[in-house]
Amino acid sequence: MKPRSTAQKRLLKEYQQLARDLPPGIVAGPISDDNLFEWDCLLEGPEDTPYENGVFRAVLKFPTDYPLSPPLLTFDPPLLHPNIYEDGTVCISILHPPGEDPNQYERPEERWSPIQSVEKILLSVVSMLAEPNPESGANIDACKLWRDDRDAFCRQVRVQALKALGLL
Amino acid sequence: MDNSTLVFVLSLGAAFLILRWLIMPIPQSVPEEFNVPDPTRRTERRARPATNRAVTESMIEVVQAMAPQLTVSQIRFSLQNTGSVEATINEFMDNGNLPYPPGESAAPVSSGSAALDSSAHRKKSLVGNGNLLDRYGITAADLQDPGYLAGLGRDLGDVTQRKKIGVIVNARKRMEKTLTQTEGI
Repeated sequence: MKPRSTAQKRLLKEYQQLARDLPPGIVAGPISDDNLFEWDCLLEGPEDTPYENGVFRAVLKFPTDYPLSPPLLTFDPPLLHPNIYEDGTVCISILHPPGEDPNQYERPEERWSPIQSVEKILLSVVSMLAEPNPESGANIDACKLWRDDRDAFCRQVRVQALKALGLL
Repeated sequence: MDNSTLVFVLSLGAAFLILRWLIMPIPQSVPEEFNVPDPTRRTERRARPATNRAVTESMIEVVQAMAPQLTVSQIRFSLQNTGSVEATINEFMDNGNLPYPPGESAAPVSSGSAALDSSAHRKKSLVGNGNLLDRYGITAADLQDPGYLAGLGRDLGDVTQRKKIGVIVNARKRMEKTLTQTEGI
């Protein structure tokens, strides 16, 4: 496989770095060798959270102008979380296009820029799993459940985790 | 009239003509690549039947970036008519859609649905089994086999794939343990 575009070269470099020095609880890599723009990621649920002991699969889709534009991260199957849309798309500041936030909510340095990386995205997602931010919720039902009935929220997440591991 | 006055008047006239030529607006016959849509010309262009102008892939990409719900054939058809990315985008902005080329009709997917970003995130397809064991081809027999993970090294060349299977198998073991613990309580 011969990388041609800047995006492909950069993705290949990031993949090699990740394969060498992988953060614990995270595995990520291209789904197939001939398409570097779609990655398959597995994230272990952080300890002491409803996601503990679970493994969750997410797909990273990179734009052709990566790293100028951020990739799109989608949990497949969708995961119950205040900052994950019902279709599984993750909504965190690092995945938002560079520049000023039109709602003045996020600082420009929190948003995507070419100095960010796949590793930083995945680490941010793991910390998002540990600490949801219901202030900027993506899934209103999950936000309500997380705020009003934490036990029911934890139960539903556990059911998802058990299903993913074929135990339910 | 004095001779010098005559020379002065003539040079003044010449200077006026030169200045006029210099500040004259750019003629309308600039090459198409400048692509500036001129409102006076646009109507004239639209009235004319489709003349096949050169449409490059990059022009289509630019329009697609603005309006992802349009099909390539729609964009190409409009670009062939207008010859300009700006004019095509203006047409899309005015009408909310672009005409389909002759012999083609709207696809079953409604074009308006993609316009709302928030609704685009609504339940999409949840096709596919969420079970990671099925997805990665881990069978019940594999889980029983204590040497399964160690044996993967030889069978599977892809290191990442091996790590993924390792993560799943280990997580399943941990989860089984927590299940037996809660049952024990």
